[in-house]
Amino acid sequence: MNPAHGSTEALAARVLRMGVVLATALVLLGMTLTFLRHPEYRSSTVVLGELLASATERDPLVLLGWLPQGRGQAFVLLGLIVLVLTPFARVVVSGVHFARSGSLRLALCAGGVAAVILLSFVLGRVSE
Amino acid sequence: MTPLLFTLVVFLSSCFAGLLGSLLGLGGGVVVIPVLTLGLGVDIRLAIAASAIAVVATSSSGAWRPLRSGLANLRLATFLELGAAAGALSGALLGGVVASRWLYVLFGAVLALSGVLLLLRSKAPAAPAPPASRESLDLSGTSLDEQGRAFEYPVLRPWQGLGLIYLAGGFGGLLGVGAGVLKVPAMDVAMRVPWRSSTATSTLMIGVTAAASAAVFIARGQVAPIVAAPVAVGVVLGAQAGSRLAGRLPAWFTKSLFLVVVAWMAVQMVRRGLS
Repeated sequence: MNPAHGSTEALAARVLRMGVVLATALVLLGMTLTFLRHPEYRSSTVVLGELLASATERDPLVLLGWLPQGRGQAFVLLGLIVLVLTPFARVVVSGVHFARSGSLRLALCAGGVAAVILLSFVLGRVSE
Repeated sequence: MTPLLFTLVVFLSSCFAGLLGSLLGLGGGVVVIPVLTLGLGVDIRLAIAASAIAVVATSSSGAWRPLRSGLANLRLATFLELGAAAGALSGALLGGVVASRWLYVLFGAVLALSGVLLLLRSKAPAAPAPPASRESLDLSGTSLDEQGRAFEYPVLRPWQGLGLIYLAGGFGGLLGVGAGVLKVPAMDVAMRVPWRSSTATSTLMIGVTAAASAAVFIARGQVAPIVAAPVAVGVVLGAQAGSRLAGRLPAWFTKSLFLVVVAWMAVQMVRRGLS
């Protein structure tokens, strides 16, 4: 690998790895808490339908509000949010590093990608 | 079925999805969605949201190792992601305006064509390395040959490649399908990026566009923790295994596997469009 390129790659890899590790830890914690809190999940064949039903609460703000109560679903959702933000963080961090190392064209590309993703999210949220 | 058994089944199938995805530079949706909908009767909207999570997990978990080793080309990925993200946004905005039926058929035809081009390029004798030229963008990278030795490669026709990636992203945004299956051939055939680096770079790229979709699904309350949690963990573990294997398996094997997946998806797309 071209030594001039190596440090940005290493930094981006570290961001991805940290994001994945943190996200996985939160999701596993959430799943563990859920099954500990609900022993019937191990034996009941009825409750799965309720969990998959459209009426089940899934509003992210509501679920995240359950974090202080230690509810498993809240930690699962937090972990998924960390996971989803990880590629975005990688783009931002590598863009900043490209700029600092003088690769301005690539820094602009990274900035453009981040802007398009944000715009996609806003338009997707607005269009619901 | 109990929630525990459901979680185990989803986890194991997601491990396979992550393994396949990171080996071939694809998202895990091609496995996750059929398993969830056809196998387990999960609502298609929950399955699509879980699939987006799977793609992000495949990308982030499967790409950090090849990124660190240099096999995944971060500079090329950053350049092409602009086209992919813009294409996906364009496709999503056009959705509902363009009749999807013929788009499925067209996508299937494009998939079949890309598979044929990939096959022809595999059988063609290796072309001499192009003369060194001044590149306005230094997108060159490092790959591994069959003996595991590192070698540098230039990236040819970057702007044509950007256009192809934009179209691939557009299909993905229009049809809600993963575009990795088009991105890999675009890099390998059009830009002459070595196969191993094409799949590794595609694995890196797909997470960015999937993350935008996944964020919208979360915001809309379309992500069911009981579904998405085992998908995320399973794909992470499977993609880790895939990224370790990718550098060790011969290129002909993963390319053959890729062609099988492309052929299957091409048939499914054409059938969906014509049915």
